[in-house]
Amino acid sequence: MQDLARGYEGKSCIVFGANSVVGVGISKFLSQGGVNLGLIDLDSYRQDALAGDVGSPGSTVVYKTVSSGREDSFQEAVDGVVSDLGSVDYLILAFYLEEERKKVDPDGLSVDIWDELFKEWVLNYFLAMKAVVPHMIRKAAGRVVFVNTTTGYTGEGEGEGELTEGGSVYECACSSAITGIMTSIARDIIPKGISVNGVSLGPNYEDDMERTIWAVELWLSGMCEYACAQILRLY
Amino acid sequence: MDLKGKVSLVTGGAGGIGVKVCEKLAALGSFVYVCDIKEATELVDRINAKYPEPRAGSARCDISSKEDVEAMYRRISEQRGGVDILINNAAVYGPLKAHHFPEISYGDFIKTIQVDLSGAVYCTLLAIPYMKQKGWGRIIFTAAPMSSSGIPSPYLAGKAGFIGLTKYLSQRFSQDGIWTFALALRHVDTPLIRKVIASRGRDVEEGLEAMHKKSLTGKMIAPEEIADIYAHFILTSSPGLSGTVILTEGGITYLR
Repeated sequence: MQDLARGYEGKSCIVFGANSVVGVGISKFLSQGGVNLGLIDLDSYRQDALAGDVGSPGSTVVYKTVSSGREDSFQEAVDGVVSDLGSVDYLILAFYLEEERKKVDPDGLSVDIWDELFKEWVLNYFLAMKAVVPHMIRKAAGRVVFVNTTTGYTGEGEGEGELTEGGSVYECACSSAITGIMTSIARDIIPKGISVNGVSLGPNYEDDMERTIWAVELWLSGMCEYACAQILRLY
Repeated sequence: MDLKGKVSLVTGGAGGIGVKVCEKLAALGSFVYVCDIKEATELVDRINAKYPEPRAGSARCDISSKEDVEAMYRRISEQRGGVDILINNAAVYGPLKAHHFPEISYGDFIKTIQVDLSGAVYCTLLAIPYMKQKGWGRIIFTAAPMSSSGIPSPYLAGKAGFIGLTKYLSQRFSQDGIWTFALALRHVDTPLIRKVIASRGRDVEEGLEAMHKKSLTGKMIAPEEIADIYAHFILTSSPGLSGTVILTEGGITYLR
């Protein structure tokens, strides 16, 4: 197993949700470790923040955008990154829709909002996997980390009252659905040499990015080969 | 960050996982007490030969005996002040014969769980006052999944009991700087697993191969890898990780 503190140099990683707080934090950490990055986020989401000042000497960084729910868009972005970087070793899925969630009216349940969140959150996780995993299967190696929330376990809203009560229905359902996608896909692709693990973030995750990075580092190490489809819940 | 100035105690320190954990902690600068049922002179000498100053000492102890554990802590207290890092790793895998219910005897049950669970509780309770006083401590448990078919009930009860201990101690003491962590392990490549296979009258290599097939990845975790993960936890500065338990079993129980 690689030393947890080293061993990333020259690896290539695609980060979906690169503009999220978590996406930026993880990208910076990996870039400092010499990982080449393909940073991808929705074309509708915080483009001004696209991975901000991510990028360290010795780390190549390329940027792409995708259209939410569009399979061809995801495929094109991923193929472009793989072409630019030469391969993909790691995939971080960090669609974490801080800004989107703030738009949700906690007092009003709406099928339209559900449709939008479901597409932007759950379907995009699936599409990202669909676009990246075949590249990993071809070389029988790869490590995937799902970044999700603990709401699917707790049934509670997250983040200091941004979502409460009714509003949490969307997030809790999406969160659990993502866990289901993860474990189901894991069963199919772990025997093909690709590890799949998760990190579930609780409230106030922004105050302790070290913890999130610790968990991601764990799942990018050899530990992922034994702790199959395990999810670290960071309440 | 390194572990210079920290004192570690590794129970079962002379066994498969324990040896690698002792070596790792010493390499990070800690002084390591190798706690085992027999004096671990050879390992202690081997570790000390690597460094200009002593980084290991033997702490012979039968951890199933409260009196023995108390005496060990008195010696450590006199020599080095106390224990900063406790690795509750010791276990007896038992009983090797007549290990199925209801053939397993009450005597065998007690004998095993006294080492596997009570021994760790003794070591932990005696470590905590010093850790509280210093406002810093790390307690790690080499645990096992709560659902593991074919494993003798006293061993599993003891090792799975560590999961609750890890969670409780974290809730109770993390505010004092004492953080806990556990790996719930199965499928580790140690001499013990070979001994267990042989005790069941099976060819060891065939038995290992059968175990590989049960794992989704077809691999056994190596003791060195466990030592790396323990160090990864000990060196973190995020209190939010205290109480973490990771199921590390190749998908055998979780995904099947």
